[in-house]
Amino acid sequence: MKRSSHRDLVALLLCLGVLSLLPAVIDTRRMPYLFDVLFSVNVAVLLASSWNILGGFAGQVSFGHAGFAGIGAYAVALLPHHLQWSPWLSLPFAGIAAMIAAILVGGIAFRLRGPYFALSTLALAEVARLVVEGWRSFTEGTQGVVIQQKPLYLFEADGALFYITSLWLAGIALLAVITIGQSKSRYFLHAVGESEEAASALGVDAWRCKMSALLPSAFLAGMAGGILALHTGFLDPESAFSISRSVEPIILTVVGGIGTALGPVVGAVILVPACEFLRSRFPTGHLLLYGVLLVVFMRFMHGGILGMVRRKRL
Amino acid sequence: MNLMIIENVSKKFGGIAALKNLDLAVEKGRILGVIGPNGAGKTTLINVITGYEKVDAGKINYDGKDISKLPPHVRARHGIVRTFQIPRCFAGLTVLENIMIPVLLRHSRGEAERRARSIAERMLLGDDLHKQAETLPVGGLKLLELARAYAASPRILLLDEPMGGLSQDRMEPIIRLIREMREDGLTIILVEHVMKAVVALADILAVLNFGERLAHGRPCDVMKLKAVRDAYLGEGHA
Repeated sequence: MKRSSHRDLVALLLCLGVLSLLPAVIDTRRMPYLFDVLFSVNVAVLLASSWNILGGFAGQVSFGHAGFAGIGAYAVALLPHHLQWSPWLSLPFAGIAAMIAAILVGGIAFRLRGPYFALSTLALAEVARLVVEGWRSFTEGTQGVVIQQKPLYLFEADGALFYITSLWLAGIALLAVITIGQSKSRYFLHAVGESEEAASALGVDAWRCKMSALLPSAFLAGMAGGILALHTGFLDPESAFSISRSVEPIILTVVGGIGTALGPVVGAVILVPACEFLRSRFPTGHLLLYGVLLVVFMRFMHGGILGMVRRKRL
Repeated sequence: MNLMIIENVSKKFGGIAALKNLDLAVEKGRILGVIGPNGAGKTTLINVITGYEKVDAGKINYDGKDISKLPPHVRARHGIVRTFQIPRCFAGLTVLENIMIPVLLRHSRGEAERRARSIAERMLLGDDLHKQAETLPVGGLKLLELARAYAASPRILLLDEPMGGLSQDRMEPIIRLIREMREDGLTIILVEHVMKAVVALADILAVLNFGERLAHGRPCDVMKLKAVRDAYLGEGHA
């Protein structure tokens, strides 16, 4: 491992360690809203980083990350429901279920050229929603599933546990992004993203390359859906496969800085609290204001916030 | 000794035949020039050899094996490497990174960088190593495309109009580089419209017309043929 990798890993672990101490300093029962917002930021970092691996590094735009997240959410909801497992133990299966869906989608769509992958991810979310709605005996259909928020060993399922779990999941996502960003694969992913034909002409296996980005991306998106479902305690197809869950990671990544490890973090840390603030201050017009904010970001910050900072430094 | 033998290859797009029962052989260490009017099937020939188009009929033998069913990246790893008529350099990467990509498939990052630097120097890109590829002029992009293909360790290099769009003075270094590659033992198929370059480089010349081989032989002999003059060169080249 290179020295810069060690440095980044140590910095990441230090940040995670320090941020994990927050519930020890601030009582979560006295400030539940703060921890809800922090939880949302962590999940947004997780979901946006997962999108960034695929869309940012590999240039394969997914319009249906809600599909992977929703499948992960249903894995967390249905395993305890049918097998009486602990919802917490079901969490890794959220990632695995999303990865299986990714193998099906990518296995076929990545053999085609052009916009087929983007379209098939869009279809995945919609097909998954229809399957969940139709298969009532297994999924409870549109009625939804209640997920009991059971303790994890000695820890109560409170704001602190959700905050710390989501924080470390976001940390794992960042570690994955940093690892890819510093590996040889980064060059192959970039090449395939820019021109699959040119990359193949040099010996790069474009299909394998794209799958190597899709699988971790889907796994992390599934985990994001799983922890969100656990936190909410209830899951229905409408919320699990909501289009906004596909759009949000794209916006956060583009605003923060696409194809950079810290872009999704910057996007999430700024936009999620900003959205919460606007929602609390302007309950009727917050989406309009959020839209204006996004237009301003897109208009004046090419390459995202990180891109602008880099240009200023130069 | 022939490194590649194209046997009776046909390729149709809809009802139009791009290649018709084409036979060609490429001798090891030689340059085969391929000329012909627009739509003669020159780029299709490169596409079927490199796997970007599947042949409808016929075989492509490379080093004694039929490669007609292999995907492009596997053919490239076997040493069949191409360039594109319009350079497809990775715009968001630097010149050095562009050249490193094929080398990284076989070597560590340190070794890949060392080899890529050496190739860049040879290909007259030594001063542009850290420039983004998108900032290079057309001549630079053509050189980068050539350098990147060379970095993929080809045994046979297929060049699709490497002089296209270049001024006379920009062509000279590319002609010199291609000649040097041949002197290193590389086998080359050169598809080109610039006759001066073809004559200067090709050991054997094949003329395609409507997907068929119109003529084949030494450039000086081929260019004297009336059929070739009528189909492609015009009377001025007689």
